[in-house]
Amino acid sequence: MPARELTPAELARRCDAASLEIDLPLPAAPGPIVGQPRAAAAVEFAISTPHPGHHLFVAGPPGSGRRALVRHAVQAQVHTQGVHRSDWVYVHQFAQPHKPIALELPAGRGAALRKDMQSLVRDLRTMIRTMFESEEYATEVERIDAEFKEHAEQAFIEVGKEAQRRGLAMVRTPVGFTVAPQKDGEVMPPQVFESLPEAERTALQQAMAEVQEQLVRALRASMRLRKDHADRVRELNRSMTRVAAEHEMEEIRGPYADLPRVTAWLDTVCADVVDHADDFRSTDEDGSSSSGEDHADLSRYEVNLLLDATASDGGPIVEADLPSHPNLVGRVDHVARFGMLLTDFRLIKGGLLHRANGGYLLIDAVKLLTQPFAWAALKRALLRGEIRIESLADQFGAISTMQLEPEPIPLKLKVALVGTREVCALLQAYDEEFDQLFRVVADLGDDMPRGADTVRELAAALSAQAQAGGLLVPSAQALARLIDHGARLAEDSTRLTAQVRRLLDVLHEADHLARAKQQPRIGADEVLAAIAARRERAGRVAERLHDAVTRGILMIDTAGARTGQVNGLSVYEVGGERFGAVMRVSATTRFGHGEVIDIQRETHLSGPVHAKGVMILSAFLAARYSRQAPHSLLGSLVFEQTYGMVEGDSASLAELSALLSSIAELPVRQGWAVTGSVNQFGDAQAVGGVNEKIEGFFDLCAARGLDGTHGVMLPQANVAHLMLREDVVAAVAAGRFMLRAVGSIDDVLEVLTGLPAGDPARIDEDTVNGRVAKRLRGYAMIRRGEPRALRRQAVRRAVRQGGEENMP
Amino acid sequence: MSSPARVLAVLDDASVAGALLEASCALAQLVQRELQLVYVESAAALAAAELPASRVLAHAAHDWAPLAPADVERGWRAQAARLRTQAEQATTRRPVSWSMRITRGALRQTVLALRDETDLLLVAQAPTHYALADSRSARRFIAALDDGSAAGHEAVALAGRLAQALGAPLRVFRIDGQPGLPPLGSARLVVAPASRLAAPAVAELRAPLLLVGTPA
Repeated sequence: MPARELTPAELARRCDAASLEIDLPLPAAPGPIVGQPRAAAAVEFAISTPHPGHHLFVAGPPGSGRRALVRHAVQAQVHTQGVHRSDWVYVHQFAQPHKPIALELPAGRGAALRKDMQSLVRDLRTMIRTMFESEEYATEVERIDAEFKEHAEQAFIEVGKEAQRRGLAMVRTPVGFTVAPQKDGEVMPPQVFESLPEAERTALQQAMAEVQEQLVRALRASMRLRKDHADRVRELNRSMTRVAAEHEMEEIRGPYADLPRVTAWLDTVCADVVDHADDFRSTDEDGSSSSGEDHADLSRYEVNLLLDATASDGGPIVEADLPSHPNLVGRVDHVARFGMLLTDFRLIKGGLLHRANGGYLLIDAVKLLTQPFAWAALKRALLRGEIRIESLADQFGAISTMQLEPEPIPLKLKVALVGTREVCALLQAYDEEFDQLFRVVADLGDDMPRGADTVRELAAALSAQAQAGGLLVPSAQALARLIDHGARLAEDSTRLTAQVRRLLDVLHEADHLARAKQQPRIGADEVLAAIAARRERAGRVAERLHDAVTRGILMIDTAGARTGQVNGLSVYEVGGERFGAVMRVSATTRFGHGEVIDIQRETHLSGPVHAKGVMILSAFLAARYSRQAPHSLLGSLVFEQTYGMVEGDSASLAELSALLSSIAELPVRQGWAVTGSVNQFGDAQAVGGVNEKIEGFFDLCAARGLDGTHGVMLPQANVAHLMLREDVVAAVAAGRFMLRAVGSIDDVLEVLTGLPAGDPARIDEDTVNGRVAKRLRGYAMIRRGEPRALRRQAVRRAVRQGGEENMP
Repeated sequence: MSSPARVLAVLDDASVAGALLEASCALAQLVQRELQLVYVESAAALAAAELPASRVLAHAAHDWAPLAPADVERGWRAQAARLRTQAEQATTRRPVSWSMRITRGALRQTVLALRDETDLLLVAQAPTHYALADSRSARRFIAALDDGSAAGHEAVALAGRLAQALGAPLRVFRIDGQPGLPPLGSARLVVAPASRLAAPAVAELRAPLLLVGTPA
């Protein structure tokens, strides 16, 4: 089938604006995303199933509405099933202060407990101080004191009396007590003592020793008494405090009677208050000390409200902005005090898992995976079913300081990871635990079918997003152009891109332009201008390349004919925009050993797919033209004036054309460019980026002047992908530019050379294939070493027999 | 009355300085007089230390140890230094002009000798043994002894003002015609007319004592 000239209608499938008149206001909130029923069902299943391990990975291209899909499914689930979340608090554990207790309370009651405990401490301060300042207490203490003193002093008085009786005095010195002989009520002077008879001195010394011994005994007895006294005062204090504490605790216990763990903790609070009554006596209500001394720390009775389910922002779904390890599982802060780092249960800070517990956690997979230890921590928490706050610094011994071991909190939530398909595949391939935890993968396609319903849904979604974003209302024409742009991004006139965000970006820019023009709505012109502006911003490289070609620095011929030289087309991406570029593909051929040298590959400037394409065309040459003779061609191929990496096989049709032109020694029309790959049978195969490639060549030819001799050949299978610019379509309609769909290399050769392709098995100077066959058979005979006369004879015979297989 | 305008506070042991200084500073501030501390070095202690083979049961020791006069003198110096520090701290809280002098003898004799120098004399006597010292919380009220005399009325009035300044409750005891004193061991300060100084019960009193007026 010869190359088919494409009609303007085939070059782009424009959306009919009449079908997009959206009634305002919008009737109902459209779905989160359009045209992804398979992925939507997967997300819905993962969100609704209660089984652990059925966490979700939403795989798809950025901007395709992955997060919106999850949010919508969660809202639907919450709407139908409700959500059951609890408050979580950390409180002090009096028996083991380094292990704070986690308490679960129904939503809203965590804050109530915190408030109740604040009130309790305030009331206890007042009540305990009042009780200890009462006359009853003072009288009781005085009674105990008096009893102690009476008993204790009695012992010393007895010692004093005994000393007096034995002529001794107890004397207080700045060092301590001493016992000395006395005379006339005064301490005996040393000279008087020395003048005493020996026996009397000895008796006095003996008496002194005995009194000293009695004094020690009295002292020891007084110590026992003092301890008894202290015990009695302490017991009195405990008794007084218990009355106040139990009265107050009774009031606070009532509302928490249905929560055994809370009431058990309140019991320990009561016991601690009784044991530490002095802490309450030393503080005023405002926490200041009544005596000017440092007031006691009562913070251990506070409640650290880690999760207030009624007040948490975002409701049951939490979106992780920075899923670092501490942000994920929580952390324990420290405060520096006198050069030391101190902490307590009040400094426990909840993480994303705490905030999302009982609900849903949405995380960007790449952000999670790029945070050190975060992925491992998340998996550990999900596998254990609990949140355990572990300090990284502690784990790795970075600092040695006081650390807490907060009680782990049971974890029940659904995690939705959002990432690209590649990330998902990597996790599936390299992480054994991934499949165990993330059993549902919602795979969003890159594009979707362009049916009437889908188009209308997408238009409605864009309108809704514009409304939600405070943009001007887009007109039907504007929406139609956005739909066209969506098809263009999908590289298929029958499909639409799933990256709705890119369309929204255009809409935002169009809104800006419409507002600048003080228009009430966003029109088609603004949309087209926004699309053009985005290309313009990214077009620096394209402009430089175009300039280089038009100035002849990059040598591209668009007129005349030349042997072994074909215009190939390539595409490259800058700033999210794709541009087409024209390359000169050249080929040279000579006698050799059946080899096509790919210069790009030899110089390591091509990728494997490109190398594969060249090998395929080499195989095609041998199979078509040298089936029963030695393939004796040596060819070389190159993309002229390229200095970077070349990848892909979309130029293999052009390369084969150049090669055959060289073999046949037939000049090729330079007004044409060729895109497409080729298989071993010479069939033209579809390639990507056809729109940009065609437009790239069109722009070059237009700059040099379109005269109706220019055009692009593309594989027939690519026709459905065409969404060309309006100026290209207009040029084709006006006959100034041509597009032809080709089915095989023969179609291309006929257009490029103006000769029929002919039968490759028949030597014929008037066909391309006949000329190629003749040249290759000549090479084969040379290789066999046949005399020139014989070779001529064989060729003549072959020509006479009409192209049958007639090689000697 | 021609008494010099100052408040005298006499003590023989730094262990009782806290309560005495608190009361005497408040008083000096109240009556706007200079405070003079008088530290009495016990002559009996030095005499006892000079005896051969004298031994001491130190405050912080559990057994008897040899005692020499040098130990006693070092102890006095340490106590005097401690007193000065406490006085500086107390007068920082209640700014009053103060001085300190040191004398040697016996506390009671010193008080008797000084009673003509002022009409506001504070005395603090160390407890029999430190083991019997009152806990601070136990000393809570200010006691005023009213013997019906003019000095007694003056003592009650001053005790009231002091109780207000110190934030302590006041208890007034009528002692005219009574041989002994009511239980005052837990008093923060006992305010009595100076004429009661000679009473044996006052001499035995272990709480800080403020004598108001001059002896008759």
